[in-house]
Amino acid sequence: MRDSRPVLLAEDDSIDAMTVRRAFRDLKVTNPLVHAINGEEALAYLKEKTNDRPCLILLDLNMPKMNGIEFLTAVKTDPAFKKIPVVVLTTSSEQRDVVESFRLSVAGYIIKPVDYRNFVEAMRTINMYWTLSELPDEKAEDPNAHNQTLVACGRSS
Amino acid sequence: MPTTKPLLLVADRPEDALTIRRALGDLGMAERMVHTPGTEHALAYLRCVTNEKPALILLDLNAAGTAGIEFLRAVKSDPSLGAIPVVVLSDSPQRQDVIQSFDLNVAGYIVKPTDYAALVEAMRIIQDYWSLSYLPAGPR
Amino acid sequence: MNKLLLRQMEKFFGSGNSAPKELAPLFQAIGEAYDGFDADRRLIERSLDISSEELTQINQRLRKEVGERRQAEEKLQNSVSLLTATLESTADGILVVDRQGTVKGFNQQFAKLWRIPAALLATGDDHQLLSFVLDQLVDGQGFLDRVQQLYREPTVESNDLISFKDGRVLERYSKPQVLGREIIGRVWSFRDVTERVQAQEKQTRLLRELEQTSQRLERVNQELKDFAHVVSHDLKAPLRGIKTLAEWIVTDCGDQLPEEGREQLRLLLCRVERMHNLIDGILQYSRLGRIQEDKTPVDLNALVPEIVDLLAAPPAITITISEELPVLHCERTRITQVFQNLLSNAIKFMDKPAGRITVGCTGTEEAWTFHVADNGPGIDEKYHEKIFQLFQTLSARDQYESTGIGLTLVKKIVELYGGRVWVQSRLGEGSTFYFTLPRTQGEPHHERLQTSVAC
Repeated sequence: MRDSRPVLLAEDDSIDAMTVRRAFRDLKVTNPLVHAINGEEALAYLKEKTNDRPCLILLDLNMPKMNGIEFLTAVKTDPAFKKIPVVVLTTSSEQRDVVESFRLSVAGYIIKPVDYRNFVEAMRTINMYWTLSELPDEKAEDPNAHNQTLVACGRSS
Repeated sequence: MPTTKPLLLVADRPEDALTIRRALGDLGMAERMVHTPGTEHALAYLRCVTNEKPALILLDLNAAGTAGIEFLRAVKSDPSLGAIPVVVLSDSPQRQDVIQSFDLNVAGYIVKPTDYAALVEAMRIIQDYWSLSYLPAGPR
Repeated sequence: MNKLLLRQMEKFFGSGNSAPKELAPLFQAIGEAYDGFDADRRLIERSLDISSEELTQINQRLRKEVGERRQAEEKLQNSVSLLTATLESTADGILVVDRQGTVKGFNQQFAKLWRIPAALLATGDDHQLLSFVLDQLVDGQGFLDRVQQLYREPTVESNDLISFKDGRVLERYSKPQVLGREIIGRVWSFRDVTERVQAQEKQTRLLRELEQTSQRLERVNQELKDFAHVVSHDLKAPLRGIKTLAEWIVTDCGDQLPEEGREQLRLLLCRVERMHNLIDGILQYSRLGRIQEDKTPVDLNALVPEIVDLLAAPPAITITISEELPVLHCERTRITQVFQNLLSNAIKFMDKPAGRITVGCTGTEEAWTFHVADNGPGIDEKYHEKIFQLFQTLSARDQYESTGIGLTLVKKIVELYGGRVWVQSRLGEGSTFYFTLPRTQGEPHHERLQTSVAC
């Protein structure tokens, strides 16, 4: 991603979480991956001031206790967190989930590929996009980090 | 971008529109692109019920004036338009603009490279991402 | 002189002239008296004649009148008989009352409907009749009230139903009886509508039950749909995990594993794939008959080659379409499934170096008969029924990866359309699968109509 802040992954399936982690490793994405097993935990992570604010949230929709939609609603109504881009990563291809997610201002809705190789490609695309895109950060950016990721993408500035 | 649905490019300056259109064209994506020359035109286009709603809005925010931000606000507060993701294209990374844009729930803020080849590359990344992503189907 | 007097004088005096002259005035007076009598007598006779004539005429007129009156009476009698006959042959019970409510007349049907015994009828006692009648009713008071009301309003027409304690229902119709321009009474007509009312109630009840059943079916259908969705989704989730993990093990530790280990992992991945296909197959099977799509014209001449393409048979197998196929009016995905399953089976089980598969059809007025024939291993006759059963395979599943659902789906789809499917085959002689599809009205007109070939 564009900066080195963590990526928050809200995902209840431990194997799916492992898949994201492994894909990051294979793609050499250096952002730390913070794994929350449901919406409640993810929200708690955000609210804990000692935690690093994530630069991106990858969100599964079907989670116990607090599902993706509920989490989205909470996050997007909180001025402290609404700026963080959220990308839905789910198995659900239900149109109503897609519509509801975009109504709640997600910045992408991706269906988890079944095949691991395709999963890695999807993660690559996500990483490329969120490296290209600016990310909102109240703290000053590290200019070096910016150049590094540009080089990693094969772009010249 | 899914080729069945239109893309709306909102760009004030004709040269911006031209360049982006050319880049999209090089990628084979320009057929479904609708361009409105300004944010007011864009709003009118979006609000007109006979027009097909775009799957994605590319908003070229230039430094002059707050029209872009106002447009963003207007779109996001309109329940019939709020589900359409908006990606901002800009000349320079003004941190305040970035923060404000994400505060208004944009789905990306991309600084346009001055180099044309790099711009095409950027548009390709945008296309790959938004092809991978599902988009809400609007009224047909 | 009067002739009579003259005769008398001749008799007495011998001749008319020998009478004493002093008696002449006397004789003259007598003569005049006689003349007077004669005149009177003639007048009286004349009168009598006239009277007699008149009497005769009067008599004649009287006779005529009596004759006419008799005729009129007969006519009246006939009319009355006709009227009575009509009254008695109507299905309705009729009661006529005057404005005071006194019974003026009724027909037998009335007495029958109200089951009034002849003895009671004979009394002509209206009060007794009324209480006899009221006793039979569920709402005697209501009946009475309505009657009173109608007597108070002689011009009103009325139509209602009367319920009896024994379950009968009469329809009561009431109209004022008008003579000339005056209302002289009221006519009540009654009809037994018990059966009709019962039939209506039954119909209402049945409709309600139908509605409830329909709603229940709707609910069940939705539950099944949800169940199928959940089953498919939730059963597949762990499969993904298993598949991913197995792949990682191969990637990460594959070279550390002995050949056995690698083979076991391969089999594992195979089972996962099979499970996935089984779930999909079950889902498809459960959808049949529940979910209906739109029927559209489907040109098999375009569809079948598409399917053949999709199946990507190895080059050693040639698939030909032996004649022009019809355009069917059906659900596209269903017919695709039929051809796809039959063709994929033919390909999968092909055991000859040069595989030949043909698709063809014949048609009659009533139905199309399609066939998919192959020169593969053939199927022993004793299995010809079994292969269409769910989850039945003829070989171990490891030999030919097969869910055992394909032919079951074909059978279900074909039978849903009202057709039949069967196989003609012998071990070592290849197989021909036949299926029929009845021709429907929606089918586009197809010019080529072959006579059916004995199958």
